[in-house]
Amino acid sequence: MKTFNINQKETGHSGRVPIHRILLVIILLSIFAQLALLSSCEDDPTNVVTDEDPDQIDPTMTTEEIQEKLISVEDGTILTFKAGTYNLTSTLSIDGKDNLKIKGEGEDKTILNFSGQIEGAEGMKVSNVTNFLIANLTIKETKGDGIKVDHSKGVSFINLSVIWETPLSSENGGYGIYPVLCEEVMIDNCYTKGASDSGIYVGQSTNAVIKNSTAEYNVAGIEIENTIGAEAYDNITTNNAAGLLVMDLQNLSQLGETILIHDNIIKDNNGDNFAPKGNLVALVPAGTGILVLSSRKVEIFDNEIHGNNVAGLGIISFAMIAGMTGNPITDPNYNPFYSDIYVHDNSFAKTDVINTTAQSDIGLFLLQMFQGTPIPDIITDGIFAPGSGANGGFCLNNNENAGFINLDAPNGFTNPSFDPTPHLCEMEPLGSISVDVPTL
Amino acid sequence: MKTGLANLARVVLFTTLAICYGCDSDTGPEENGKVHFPDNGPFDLLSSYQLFSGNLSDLSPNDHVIPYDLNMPLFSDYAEKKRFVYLPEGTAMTYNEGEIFEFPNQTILIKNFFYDINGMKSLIETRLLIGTDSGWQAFAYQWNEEQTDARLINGGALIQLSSPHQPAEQFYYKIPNNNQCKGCHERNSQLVPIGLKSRNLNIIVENSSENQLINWAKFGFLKGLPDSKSLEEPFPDMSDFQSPLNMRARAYLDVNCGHCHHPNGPANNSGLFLHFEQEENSNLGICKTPVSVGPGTGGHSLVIKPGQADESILTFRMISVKPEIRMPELGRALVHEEGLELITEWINSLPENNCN
Repeated sequence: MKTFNINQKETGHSGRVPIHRILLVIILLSIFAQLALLSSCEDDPTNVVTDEDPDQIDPTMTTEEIQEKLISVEDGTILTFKAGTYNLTSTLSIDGKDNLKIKGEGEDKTILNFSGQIEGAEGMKVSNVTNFLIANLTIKETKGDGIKVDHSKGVSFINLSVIWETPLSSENGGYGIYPVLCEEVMIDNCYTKGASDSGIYVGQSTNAVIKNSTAEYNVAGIEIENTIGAEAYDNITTNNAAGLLVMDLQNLSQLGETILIHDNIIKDNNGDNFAPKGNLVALVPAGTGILVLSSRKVEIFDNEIHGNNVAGLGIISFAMIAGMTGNPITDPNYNPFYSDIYVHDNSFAKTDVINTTAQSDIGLFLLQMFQGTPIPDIITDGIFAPGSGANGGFCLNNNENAGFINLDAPNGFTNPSFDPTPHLCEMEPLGSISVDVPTL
Repeated sequence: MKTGLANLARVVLFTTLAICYGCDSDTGPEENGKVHFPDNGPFDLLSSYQLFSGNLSDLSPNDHVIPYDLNMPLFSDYAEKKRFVYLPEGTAMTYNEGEIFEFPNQTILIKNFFYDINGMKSLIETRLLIGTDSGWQAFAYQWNEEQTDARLINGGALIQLSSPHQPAEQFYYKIPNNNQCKGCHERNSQLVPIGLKSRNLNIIVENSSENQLINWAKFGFLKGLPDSKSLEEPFPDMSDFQSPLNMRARAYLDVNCGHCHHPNGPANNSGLFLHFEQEENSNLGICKTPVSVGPGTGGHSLVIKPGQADESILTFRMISVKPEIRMPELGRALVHEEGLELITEWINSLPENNCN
């Protein structure tokens, strides 16, 4: 394989040197070059020894040079992006590598800046990798998604920031940290800000952990979609339009289940919903703490869900959304009914901040329904799966300070009920999710 | 003394060159007139493959390098293309109904991209898809300004050009990096050819009265071709308005979108499948709500709203040239006006339906 040399030092001579000395130097250099060629002919005749570490990337390199390195890098390499700001013009893509680790020198030191991006729908696009790690750097101002990793197994995002500093805008990229169709995912101590859809999004994946991370000023802080086996804990989501979403949508490769959401601080998510219309997240009320949409086997416990002033916790069926928006259910394999949702030991509180300026249609509907009176913390649409029994598929247990309302969507919202009694019950806790991923 | 040293220098230099010449991965020719297969990784220069004879930029194919044409080409920023397939002597492709043909080991697929700039053909890049023992590999070669040769670039390049289409706007033409090749040429995470299938190759070639597939079978380049009556219906030429609108539109979507938007393609996370064989339902985008598209919705809630192209995400993404919105994501910086017109007409022709 070809290797690429970076930052070859120029050797300059000055002063007058006799011609025979120059010739002698040429001969010696030539002999040296021949020896080098003889020894390296098999793999690379252009190889020149430099004193640069070949596994380091530095900010003087062009996008194309960095991209070449990402293609030629051997499996098992730890590739360091040295401190500095990288001004990148295209997506950086990685494909098919095993055991590759990409490390910066710190989130505040290694900055991948895509504000001048001309081409590519992501900042970084990583596909078909196994045991991949990216850590200790910041990706900012990508035109589309921050970092997308797809069709991969064993993926760790650690100490990674993805940021859009520009004012919250639907022009910002959709997702910050975006693993999709992956197995075994770890998102640890990451930070996202400004995404026009979700800061941290795990989609159509199996076995994912999101922990110790902060998501703020996104439309949705954290979103777990059509994923089997996910655990989100010790995270902070604040100042998003919605703190955390657990959703199952139609027409996708799999339906999700077994999702644990615990010990998170989901606070003051009343930010503008600036998601472009047509995205499901654009329908989520600005002022949502946690939304469970058409999911099964979800356990939500020990969370602090404070100051999310339209819908602290929503348990909703896509059937309601279909009814309200006209978006049809077209996938014969889709199940729009939630079930086995266990919500316990959470603490709820409200403040009086209500976002009326950048509010979703469903948010406006709720605000109108309550006419300025406080909206209860836990909201269900009352669209229960056939045969789901008295509790309708979810149990509420020992949630501090939690008001409740069943909106009675099946009867056109005509007879809402504030009585949680049918849902005061217990369920079997779900077991913790463990993931097999590379570490720092 | 000086002369002696100078002579020695020459000898040393000559040996150096000779050694270098023997290096497989750098330079090529062993035997004139014969294609040189890169056994040890890609050559640095396109000329080293000896795919063409004479002036390289004339693209006159060498022995066993077969030119081919397609009914419905992929749009690439109005670049013109010349395509060839190299088959090692004595080997043949195998017909594969509804799928990409099968190729013998050491096949090379060659696609040259050029523009007519001020009346002069200007080659921009040549892409090679090389069949090796360990699977297909893709490489792009950027032509030099003198048009004498093209050099391997692994990391891609952005080249500022003026559109040959009116209005002649400036745009950045992207030569893909090696990974981006796989962004389209992928099935089940493996790099594969995507263009060579019966519907698209079933064509009467210019300056010939013969059908390309039948011709190939006759010369032994293609095995297993069924008799012409049982061949799949060919894709139409996009501008053949005699051909049914639905056929033209579905062929266009297949070629331009269906390689990624396929159940086994890299865009399968979207649940939107645009290959020709996809039946007409929500997976084709009809009344389908979008997934993970961010600003790509353009404020619309359905991928295809039947009868209403101007409220469909599909057309919105064809109109946009923004990197985060445009589709296809790769290889298109300009709007394909004719393609947009076709898809608009097709969506508007679908019976109106409020999708409820």
